[in-house]
Amino acid sequence: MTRMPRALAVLLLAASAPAQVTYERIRDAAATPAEWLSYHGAYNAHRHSTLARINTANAATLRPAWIYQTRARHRFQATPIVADGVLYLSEPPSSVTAIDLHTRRPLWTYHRPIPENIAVCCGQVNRGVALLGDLVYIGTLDAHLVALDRRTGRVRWDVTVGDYRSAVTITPAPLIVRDKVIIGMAGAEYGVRGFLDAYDAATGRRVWRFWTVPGPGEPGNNTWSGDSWQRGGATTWVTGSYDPQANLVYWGTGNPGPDYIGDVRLGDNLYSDSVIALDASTGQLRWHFQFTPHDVNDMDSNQIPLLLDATFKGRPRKLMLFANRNAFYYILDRLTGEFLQATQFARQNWTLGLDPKGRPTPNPKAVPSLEGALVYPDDDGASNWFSPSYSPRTGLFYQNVRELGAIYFRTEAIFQPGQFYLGAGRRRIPGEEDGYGALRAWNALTGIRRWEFRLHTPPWAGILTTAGGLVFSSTMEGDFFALDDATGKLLWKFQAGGEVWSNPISYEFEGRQYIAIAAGSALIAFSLQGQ
Amino acid sequence: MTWLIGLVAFLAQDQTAAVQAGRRWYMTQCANCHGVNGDGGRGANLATPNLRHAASHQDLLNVIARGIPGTEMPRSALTATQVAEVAAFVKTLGQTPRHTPPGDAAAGERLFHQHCRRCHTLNGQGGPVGPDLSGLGGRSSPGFIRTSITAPDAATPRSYARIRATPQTGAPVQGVLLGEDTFSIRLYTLDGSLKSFWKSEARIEADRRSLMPALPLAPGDIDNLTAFLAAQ
Repeated sequence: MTRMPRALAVLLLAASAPAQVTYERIRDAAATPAEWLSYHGAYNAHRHSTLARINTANAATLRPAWIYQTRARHRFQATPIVADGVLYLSEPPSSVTAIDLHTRRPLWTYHRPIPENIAVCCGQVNRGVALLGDLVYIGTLDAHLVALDRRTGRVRWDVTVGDYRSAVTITPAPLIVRDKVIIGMAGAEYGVRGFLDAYDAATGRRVWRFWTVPGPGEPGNNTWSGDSWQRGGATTWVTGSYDPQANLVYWGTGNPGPDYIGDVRLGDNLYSDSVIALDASTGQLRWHFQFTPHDVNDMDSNQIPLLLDATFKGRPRKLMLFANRNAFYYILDRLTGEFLQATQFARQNWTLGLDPKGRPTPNPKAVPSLEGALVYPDDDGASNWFSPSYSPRTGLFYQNVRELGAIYFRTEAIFQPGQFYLGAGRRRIPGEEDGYGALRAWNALTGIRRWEFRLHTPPWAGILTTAGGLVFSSTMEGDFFALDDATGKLLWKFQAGGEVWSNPISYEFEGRQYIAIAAGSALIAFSLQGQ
Repeated sequence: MTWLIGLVAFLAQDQTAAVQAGRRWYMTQCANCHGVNGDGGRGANLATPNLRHAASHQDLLNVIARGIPGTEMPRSALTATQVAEVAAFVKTLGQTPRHTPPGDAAAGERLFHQHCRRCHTLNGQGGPVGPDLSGLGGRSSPGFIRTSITAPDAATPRSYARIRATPQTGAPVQGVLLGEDTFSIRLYTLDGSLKSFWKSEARIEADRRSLMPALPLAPGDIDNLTAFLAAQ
């Protein structure tokens, strides 16, 4: 499609419906590396581009090719989507812009006014849109799912997912699965009850809802004392992955509420801090694995489940790779949820160790207390929502790591809709106030570290690997950089002039490869000098 | 007259009650980001006399109620009374009751001009290397001020710890940190000049010690300088 004669492409855009982004195109994204058709680039969430025009030999000549400035005042966390010569971008808080890649100019912007009285813990952000057919989908901060016409940005349908007045909000990109739009939600710092929804992509009708905190009579409800399940959190605020063969959707879940006080919610608190595997057609739970039972340290498991078929300990298996906020890198069997292995990738003291089934023994000294409890990692985690990457070239898993602890003082948690429901105050550890960060590369199957690239401060940027042997990521101070994927050697960097809270992507258009990243309030696309 | 004293006492008590109530809300709604002592973390440092987003009391109320767009500071569902209580508490953060220590402040001012002004700014005048001492008496006790004069390393603020940069070619440079990231560093040398380095081209060493020399002052002079600074 991207190599189509321009006149024909223009004709198509101007005169008729754009090419359809079918489910098959999204599923077979590896066959069309010039595009970036979904949040993770592919259902396996590897965030690996097989484009190789930009490579270790020429990365030093990367230069900005074009910049798009948003009008947003909020943090710009979007991963762009690229299809049929157009880049689709969410702008905070819940707007969408389509950009023509030939002229690099906007085609349209959908702007959604957001109510003033919205409660969000961590900024009015959005991480991206999804495409299917001739529609663009966005989950909005006021908890709606909206379908826009790809040609015009006009609303085709708009449905209510949750009540923002009770602090249900939407920040993640939707995930398209066949004819459905799967959308997660946020609000676990406000005592909401989490869920994951699927909507009919054509009509917006809700097809299923999975409550991540089971109600009375449902399996798992007895892991919550009293009526605490009603405020149980376990939200679904980062986009999951999908196995088309097994027809299973994999999704990470957030912290239980209140974040730091466990004695008002005795029990394991299922399915908080877990990964859940749902039948994509029905929303039925196939299996779950809880990383951090009865969490009192805000260890949301809203990270990305990466899917890998590999020979593990002599046996071909369908694996899930999960670098958890709690500082452990887990390998699970993704068909059964069986725990296979965990290795520690960052400093931690919340657990005294994991048993052979992966269940942790809590460290009583890491429970927030009146005297203050020293906890590693802090409540932003060793990892977080920003994406890791897996490269089939190297067999390495690449993760940006936050090395930072804090001291937690127990306070009250008072539930009132729209107010924080937390239960602790925090202090930095004297002498370690800033912590540090690192981009770490480890063997995806053994967890053994190959190299690290040290960062001055803990990062909030995701990672892209490419078949050109490159690893792209960014520091919080705006240095976007490329490393050699085998050695971690710095090959190129660019000062982007703003904090980077986003994941890079790659696409190819008119014969050139681009690397794009949201930095500050701008989207910057880089290509090789002289092109 | 008695009624007036009674009213003042009542208002003072009322204010104390507001601060106490505000502390409770602060601990449940604010302390996770701003720290239990208000000294920041994910959120801004509030233990400072000048809040960046709240120049006036009304601004402070607005920020607490409505949040700050473009940041992680959210709006809150607190009532107007609760917001006012939080504001009352926030205003106590980092504030030290003023004391008038012994010493001749006028003599201390002469010492300040002689020894301190080259590095420290006071009310808009002075050097860029050391901390700005404007309003110091409102946030630091005379004891702390005195210790900072006699033993500068005792409580060196993080951002004023000394840095030594040794470039591949050229002489080492010593100064205080202006900014640092993964790839570069910027510092002010003692004479206030800016030096910046790529970390790949210089060796950087840092410790938690101060660049401020222990001043050759007689005990009476220390009293005088302390008295002057405590009055700021």
